[in-house]
Amino acid sequence: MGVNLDSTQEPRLASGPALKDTAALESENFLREFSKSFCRNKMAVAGAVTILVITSIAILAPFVAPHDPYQVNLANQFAPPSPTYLLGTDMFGRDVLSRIIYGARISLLIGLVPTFISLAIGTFLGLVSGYYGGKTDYLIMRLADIVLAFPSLLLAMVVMYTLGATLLNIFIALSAVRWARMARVVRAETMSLKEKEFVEGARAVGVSNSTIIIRHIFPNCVPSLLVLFTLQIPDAILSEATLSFLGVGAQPPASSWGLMVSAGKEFLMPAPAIAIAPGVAILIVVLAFNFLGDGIRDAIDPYMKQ
Amino acid sequence: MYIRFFLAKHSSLMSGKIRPLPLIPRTSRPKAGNRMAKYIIRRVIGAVPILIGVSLIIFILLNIVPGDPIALMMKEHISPDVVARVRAQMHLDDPAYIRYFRFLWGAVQGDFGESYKLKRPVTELIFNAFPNTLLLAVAAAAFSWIVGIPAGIISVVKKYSALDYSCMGFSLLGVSVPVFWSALILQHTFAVKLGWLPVSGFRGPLYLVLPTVVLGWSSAGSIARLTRSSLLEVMGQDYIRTARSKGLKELAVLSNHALKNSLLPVVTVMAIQVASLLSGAVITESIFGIAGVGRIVVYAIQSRDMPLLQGSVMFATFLVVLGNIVADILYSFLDPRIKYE
Repeated sequence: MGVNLDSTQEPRLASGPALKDTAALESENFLREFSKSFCRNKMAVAGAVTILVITSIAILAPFVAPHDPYQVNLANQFAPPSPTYLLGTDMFGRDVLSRIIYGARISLLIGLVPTFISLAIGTFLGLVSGYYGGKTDYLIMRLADIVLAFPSLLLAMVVMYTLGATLLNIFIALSAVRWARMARVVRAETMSLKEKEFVEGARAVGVSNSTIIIRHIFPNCVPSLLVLFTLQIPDAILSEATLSFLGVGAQPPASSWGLMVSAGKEFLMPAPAIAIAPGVAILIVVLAFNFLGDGIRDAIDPYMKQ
Repeated sequence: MYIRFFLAKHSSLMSGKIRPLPLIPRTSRPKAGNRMAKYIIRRVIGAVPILIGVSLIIFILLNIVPGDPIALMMKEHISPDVVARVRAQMHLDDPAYIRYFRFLWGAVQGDFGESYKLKRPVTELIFNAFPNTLLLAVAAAAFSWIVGIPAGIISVVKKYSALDYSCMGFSLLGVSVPVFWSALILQHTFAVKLGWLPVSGFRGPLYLVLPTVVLGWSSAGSIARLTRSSLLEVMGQDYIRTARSKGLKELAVLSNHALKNSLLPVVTVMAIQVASLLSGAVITESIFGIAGVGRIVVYAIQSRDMPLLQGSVMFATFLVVLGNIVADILYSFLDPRIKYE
C-alpha cells in the first residue's frame, strides 16, 4: 500500500488531468484493498450474505411465506411444529413462520429508514457545526448534549406517547433520538479535515464554503459514515422491537417481531415457539449487521488512520 | 440502550480524549485540588442549561399530547361546572409558558405535581421506587464489570484461541440479544420450568439474580469488547515494547504496565452505563415485576398519566447528567494527562 502511494505522489504535482487520474487510481486502489481485506473476514462475509438472504426473503415475502400471516383460524390454535406449519401456529391459529417472514419487512424498514434519516440530519448538522464553528457550533452541540442526556429508549417512548403508535411515528421517534451521536462524530471528523492542506488549498483558490464541504470534506467522511450506518441499523431494529414489546411501537395485527414476542410471552408453556422464534429472528439479523459493521470498520480502519 | 456498544465499537472514531497514550509520570502540580474544585463547579454549572433544555423538551412533548386529562381522571357524566373547576384548580387554562415555568419551578424544588391516576405526589412515588432501581442497577453494573473486564483481558492474553472466540462470542451475543427476549427465556427456564429462582417480585436477594444477569449481560458484552480493543491498542505502544525488552514476563507486562492505561476508557463507559441501565431497567423491571422507576415509566405511559411520566423521565435524565459529570471528574482524577478544561 505504501509503495502505491509513493508512486502516485509524482503525477499529483504535474498537471490537471494527471491529478484526476491519480484520484481515480487511488479510489480504485481503495476499493480493491477494501474488498480484499473485507473478504478475508469470514464473519463479515457471512453477515453480508445473511443480510442479503433476509432482505430477499422480506422483499419476496408474498411468494416465500407458506401461509397468509393474518389469516385467523381459531380451530387451529397452538398447532405444534409440523411440515405444514414449520414453526407451529399462534394463539389465533396464524402461521408463525409466515408472520416472521412478514416481520422481516418491518424490521428491515425500521433498521434502514430511521437510521438513514438520522444519518442525513446528523451529517448535515455535524458538517455545519464542525466547519463553521463559533455560535452555530455551540448551538448545535448544546442541542446534541440535551438529546444525549435522555436515556434513548425513554425519549423514544415519550415521543411515541405524544405522537401515537404508528409506523411513521416510529421513524420520527428513532430519528429524533439518534441524530445527535452521528452529528458528534461527523463534527469531529470535519474539524480535523478542515485543517488539512487540500482544504486550505481549495480555500486559497477561492472555492466557496459550501462547495468545500460538499466536494472535499463530505467525501472524506463517507468511510466512517458507512461504518456508523451499518452499526446503527441493529440498534434501530432492537429499539423498534423493544418499543413494540412495550406496546408503544407497532400495533396488532402487524407482524412486528417485538410485538410477536410480547404476544407470545403469555403462551410460553403451551407453545414456546411463538415467543422464541421471533426473538431468534431479531438475534440473527442484529448479529449479521454487527458482523458486517465490524468487518467494514476493520477493512476501512487502516485508511482512516492515514 | 446500546450507546455503550456504539462507543465500544467507535472508540477509534471518537475524540482523542479516550484514547490511551503512553504513561507520563505524575508530576506535582501546584494547587491541583483548587483546580479540581473549579473544574467540578464548572461542570455542575454547565449541566444547568442542559437540564433546562431537557425540561423544555419534555414539557413540549407531553403538553401537546391530544386528549383531555380531566376525562382520564374522572368517570363519565360529570357536569361542565366540575370540569371547569378542576381545570382551574390544575391551572390547565393558563398559557403554556406560564405552565412551563410553574413546572420548572416545581421541578427545581423537587415537586412534580400529583399523579392523575394514583393521586399521590409524583416525587414520593419516584423516591419510593428509586431504591429498587438503584439496587438493580448497581448489581447489574457490578456483574457487567466482574464478567466483562476479565473476559476482555482473557481474550487479549489468549488471542485467537478458542477461549478468545468464546469470550467474544459471549460479548457479541450480549450486545445483540434483545433484553426483553433474554429476560423472558431466562425467566421461563430457570424460574418457571426448573423452579430454581423466583419468577417475579422483589422480596430477597434471590429475586435479584435473573434481572441482574439479564440487565448486566449486555453491559458486560460492551465492556468486554471495549477492554479488548483498548488493551490491544495499549499493547502496541512503545513503552510496552520497552517493558518486554527488559525481559519482563508477559503477565507482568500486562498487569503492571498495560492494564492501568487500557482500563481508562473503560471508566468513561460508566457514565454512559447509567443511561443504558436506566433504559434496560424499563424492560427488566416490567418483566420481573420489580417496583422501580422503569416500571413507573411504563405504567405512566400505559395509563396516560402525564405528571407521572413527566416527573419520572425528568428524574432519569437528571441521573444521566449526574452520571456524566461524575465520570468526567473520576476520569480526570484517574488520568493526570487530562487537563481540567
